[in-house]
Amino acid sequence: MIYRIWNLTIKEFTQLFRDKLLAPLILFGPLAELLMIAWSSLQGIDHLPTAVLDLDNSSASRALVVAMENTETFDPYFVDSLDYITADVQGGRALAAWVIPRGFEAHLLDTGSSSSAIQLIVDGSDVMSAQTAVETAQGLAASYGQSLRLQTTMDSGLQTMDTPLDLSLRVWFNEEMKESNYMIPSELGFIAAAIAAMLASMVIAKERELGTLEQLMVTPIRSSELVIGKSIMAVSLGYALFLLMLAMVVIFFGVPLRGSLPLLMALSFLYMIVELGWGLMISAFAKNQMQALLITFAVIMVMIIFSGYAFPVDTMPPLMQLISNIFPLKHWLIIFRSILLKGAGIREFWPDLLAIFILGIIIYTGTIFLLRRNKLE
Amino acid sequence: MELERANNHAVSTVDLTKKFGDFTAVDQISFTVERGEIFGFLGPNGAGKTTTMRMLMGLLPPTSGQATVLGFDSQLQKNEIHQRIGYMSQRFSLYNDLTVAENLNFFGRAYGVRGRQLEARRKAILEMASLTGREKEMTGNLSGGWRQRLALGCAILHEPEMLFLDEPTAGVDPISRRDFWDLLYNLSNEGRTIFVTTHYMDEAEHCHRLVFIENGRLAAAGSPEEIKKEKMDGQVLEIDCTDVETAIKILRDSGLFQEVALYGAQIHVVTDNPLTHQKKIKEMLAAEAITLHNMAAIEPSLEDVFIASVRSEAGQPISSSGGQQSTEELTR
Repeated sequence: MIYRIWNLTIKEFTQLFRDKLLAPLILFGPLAELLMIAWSSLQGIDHLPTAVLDLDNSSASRALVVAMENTETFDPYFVDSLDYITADVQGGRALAAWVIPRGFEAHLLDTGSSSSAIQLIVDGSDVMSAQTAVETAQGLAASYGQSLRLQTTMDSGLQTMDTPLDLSLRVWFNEEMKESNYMIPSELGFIAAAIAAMLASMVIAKERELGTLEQLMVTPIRSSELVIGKSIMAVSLGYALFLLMLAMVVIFFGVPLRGSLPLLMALSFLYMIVELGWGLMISAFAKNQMQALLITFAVIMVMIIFSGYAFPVDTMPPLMQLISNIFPLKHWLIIFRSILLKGAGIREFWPDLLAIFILGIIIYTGTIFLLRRNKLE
Repeated sequence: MELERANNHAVSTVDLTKKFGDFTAVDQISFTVERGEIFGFLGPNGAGKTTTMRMLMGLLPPTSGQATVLGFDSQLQKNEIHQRIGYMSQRFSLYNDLTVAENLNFFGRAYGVRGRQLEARRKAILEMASLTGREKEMTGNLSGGWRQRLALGCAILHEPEMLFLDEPTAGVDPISRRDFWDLLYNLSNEGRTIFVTTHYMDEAEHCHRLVFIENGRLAAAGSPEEIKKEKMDGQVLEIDCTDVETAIKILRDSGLFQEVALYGAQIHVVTDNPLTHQKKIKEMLAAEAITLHNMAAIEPSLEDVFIASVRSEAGQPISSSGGQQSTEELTR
């Protein structure tokens, strides 16, 4: 039995590495994707092209523009009229626009008047950029206003005002609130297992498509041996990919690894075996490689939405939160982030680990049932 | 046990039946195959040949009835059967992205052949298939005849007692077909049983024994000679003349003959009264100013028998299209 499985595994690897498209795609595709996500999330959102209509043209308005530029969120350029702003934002040349009204400086210096107004226009169709622009602008307005007020109070020789509420902010586990520390583990935690599942479903569907499956079924090779042989190939490839990517993000992208590495390696292997079950289940009814691929993609899409990969699970509607529990990926991302960022151990996340175990048992029971019924024909 | 097995038939079925929903693909087929013979399994496409073969090998459970292969039950002991048979499916299912040697190694190892034995067998197979020196070639680059011989090689590397071949010569050129049958004779002489489906009638003549199946039912069984004798009431006249098309038409329209069909450039006419009818045919052709070169009573080929049997089975009137074409339609 071991000899037959070994024979199959060797064959699978020979075929995989001979495929001029599949092997590079599987190895470098996820690496490239991870690199891109890492880079873009590391860099954050900045240097948004920003149109500025300065109707005041005063030292205060120019100081505001300089302060704006210093945030590095905005790359200001001046325009002459509102029409330009409309045209540029609509045409995508500007993602934000400022309008500084006439009398801005005078209004500011007049201590008796209410606060002075400036207008920020942002392109809401690009939510991420818009959010960043709004947050930066609010911060800018607050600090600019405060320093100005400070100046005026000092000029008038009055005591500085106390802020009534002093907020002491501490962000745990991700002190700088780096987006990369959220996005990279998501990507890394999910892609290797998805690749393993997809690969397993494809290689079985390939045999069926080419008619070699029937040939194999009349050899002493049993269905179970066939499935194991193919799974060994898929899992070892997926796992190698995972370790490679993990090393890359920890070494080059400064994602912290605060928990136990052996624990992480053991659990990620377990998780990969669980997700492989999906691939095998799909292979039980996919008639060819194309079907296997498309079904796997559909499953992955649903998984991503429910798993907290992109949107936090806690902010979903209650029903969706409930449903999200049936996806191993959701639990795995919690475990993975906990080990990486929080340095947590099994004591902290055992409910999620238990959930993965139970889901694994359910998935494999279904898979074995389907494979038996469809007899791999 | 071994002795008991040795006394058994290579294949034995009793009322083997397979239904797919309402459709009966194989209908109560009973036959036996003796050890060491080349056994032909004939019938038009969709007649149930492949379904039967798959049931014998344990790939499909029968709806009812029973089958044994080499003395083992097809359903309960398929692992025993799989150890002892070789199978070549319709599409020569090889791995195109493996080399010739890798394919042989893989299938050899799948049957537990290993080490020095594997080396020796691989060498022998390469020689048999005239593939020596092409071990490193990619299988996908081989042309039809080579692929077919490699597929046979993969099926016999583990020296099986019995071989199942599903239309092994489909899509292969005539010379390769001839070579292939020579290989089958050699295997048969070594004492191996060969079970082969085909729709080439000339190949059927090469079999020791055969069965015809038709709409899932057994239509005839026996040696080619027995089948001809049993199924063919009447004699075949071969006619060589000018204007074959007109000739066929008038012969058919006369309604005198069981069968009028075109074979190459000649016309075959089946009749139960050859002497009287020879005279009639001469008159009919002369009346249309067709020159008769030659007319003789010949030994019927299996194709003649096959067409006659299929037509009578279907109760189908003799069609007016050319005989050769309708043969193709029926057998393809």
